[in-house]
Amino acid sequence: MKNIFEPKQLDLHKLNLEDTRFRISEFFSSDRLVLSIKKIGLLHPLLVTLREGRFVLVSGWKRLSACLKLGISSAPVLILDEPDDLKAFLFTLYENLAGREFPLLEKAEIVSRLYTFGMAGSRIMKNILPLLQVPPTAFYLDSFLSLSKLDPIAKKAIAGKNLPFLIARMLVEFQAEDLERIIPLLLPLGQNKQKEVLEDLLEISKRKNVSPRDFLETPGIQAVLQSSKWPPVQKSERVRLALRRERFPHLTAWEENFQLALRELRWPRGISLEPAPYFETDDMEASFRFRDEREFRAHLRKLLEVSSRPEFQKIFIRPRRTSKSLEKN
Amino acid sequence: MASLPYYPDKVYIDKKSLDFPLTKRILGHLDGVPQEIVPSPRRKQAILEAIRSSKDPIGEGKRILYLTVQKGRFVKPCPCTPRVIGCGYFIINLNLQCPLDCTYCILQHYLAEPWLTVFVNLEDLWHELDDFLEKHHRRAIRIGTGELGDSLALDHLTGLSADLISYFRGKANVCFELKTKTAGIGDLPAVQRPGNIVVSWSLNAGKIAGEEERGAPPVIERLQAARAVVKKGYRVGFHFDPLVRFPGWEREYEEVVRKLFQVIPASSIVWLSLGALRFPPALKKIIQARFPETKIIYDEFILGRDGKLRYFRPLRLELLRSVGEEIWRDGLAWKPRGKRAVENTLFPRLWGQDKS
Ligand code: SF4
Repeated sequence: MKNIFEPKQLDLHKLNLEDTRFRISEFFSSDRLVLSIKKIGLLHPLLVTLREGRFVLVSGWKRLSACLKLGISSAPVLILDEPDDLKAFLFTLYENLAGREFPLLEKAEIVSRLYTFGMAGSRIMKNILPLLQVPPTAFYLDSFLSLSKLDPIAKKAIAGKNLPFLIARMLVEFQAEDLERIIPLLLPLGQNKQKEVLEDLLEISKRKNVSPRDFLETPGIQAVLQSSKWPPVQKSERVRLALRRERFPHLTAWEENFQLALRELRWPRGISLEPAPYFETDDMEASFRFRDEREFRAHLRKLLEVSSRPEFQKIFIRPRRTSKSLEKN
Repeated sequence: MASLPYYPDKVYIDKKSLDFPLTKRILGHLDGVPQEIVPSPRRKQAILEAIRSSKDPIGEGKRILYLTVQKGRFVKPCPCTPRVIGCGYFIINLNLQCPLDCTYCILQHYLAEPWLTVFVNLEDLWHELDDFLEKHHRRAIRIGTGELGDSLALDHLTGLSADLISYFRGKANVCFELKTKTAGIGDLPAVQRPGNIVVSWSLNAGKIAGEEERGAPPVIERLQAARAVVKKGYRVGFHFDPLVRFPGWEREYEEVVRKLFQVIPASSIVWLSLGALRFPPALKKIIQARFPETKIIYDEFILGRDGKLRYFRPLRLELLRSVGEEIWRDGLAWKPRGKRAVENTLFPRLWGQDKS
């Protein structure tokens, strides 16, 4: 490291804002910072350095954004005299590490910048990932490098919805054209369902050799998406179910058949009847709650009555399957 | 296309294993292959760390051979799935990992160290086996080496199968199995029939063998190797495991079963086992990362009670029933009759099938 000069006031127009080589934060709200600067001014100078005769911002993108919003034309800066990009970046990284936690995408940008500036993957893994609270493995290194290359629409969703690593990592598997269609579907759902949708879509497309976007263009899915009957959350839910049906055609046929049999039988309320998980065995479980002998007997009477109907047999019948469905896949 | 015998890119030799005859035998076959003596656990960890930090530690590990001393026990009971009928099989851990690279291989997930390990302290093995067989002398024992690696894939370097065969030959209460996917049977000595040594092969549909079993020879070569072994006096076994669904699986499995009974006389076959593809969820992630082009993990798998992903039950049963029926028809020219007769006859005996 060479020198950091004393703070000085810099005309912000002299900053080359096109040069974003050191930038790690892209999606943020500067509203609170705007308020703070308005009230008490900018207390922490921006960190800049010289590249090709012009100033570039090393650290302080949020502060700069707030200043620009407020129409401030000059701000205090520290000038970093360091021609090596990697060293300059490490300077700002260590400075930031002390003061804050990095969100997922910023971690990805840090890893990607270090890699671009010439730090070896093994060094990033060993020395940097633990500092970012990321397990030091090749999988995470690759994942973070891929996250940094994600399409902006996906990045915006990750930042805006604070999506966890697991979901963000799944988005990496899709192309930008897929993500345009997937993200709006995903956002109204909770995280478990988001994961299910992404997993099913990816696996269907791998199995059928079609792109996710082409699969989402199929008439059944389009009918849901084009319909004006449902709000976004219901559309997403319907698409999720359609994907599940496609991904697990036999299992869903068995589940639907079982539910249909219960409906036809008018299965008594207050008594639950569950097949074994995934129908792994032929066992079923009937259960009910009761508070006294009278309730207990009432449930038993209902069970006896329902089991004496001819439709009762239907709950034991499973749909026949053929291998043809696989041939089609 | 015949697959080539395996040679590592590098051999690491644990300092403690330097003086063992097996070390010398193996190194004698590896002239020209770079060798490094590993002087300490610390160096060993550093080498393992370097392998683990590569893009594909499992693939990288397969290119490296490590000779060391088995400090624990060589013989262990088969680690059967909990809550299923135990198979009563014992495994001999003489080598770990496998130079072949099957998409579905459980070792990718199961073994902690990615390199191929050979334990060279054979004297300790013979003593342990003596004690083990002494303890179990009243009981019929099935024992084999092919659980944590392929029994024959390193045989051209180690010559271990000949040693094991000469140890087990004539031990009346023991059935010793060498389990392989290779056709490398050159080092197997002729034996007297009917012997207690069984060489068994994993068989699969041509498409699966070709696309998902990297480094393994085509099924027909495995069958030709099996025929040659029968001629040497061995009895043979076949494992249709894992059976995999794919478009056209019925025809392809039918074809393999037909070929099996064309090439091998049914009277030399001591066992046939069937098992449908199953794997722990963690292995699925490994497969996705290592073999992004495979489709076999994207069928209808559900999470079984044992925590493994397995085909939804009717699909699983259809697969097992269909191949089981082929075996009956082609091999035995007889088939059990009656509703669910094949399942009822087969399933109680099937390896690791659910008790229920
Ligand atoms: S032959 Fe067996 S041990 Fe070797 S890679 Fe294939 S499945 Fe694994």
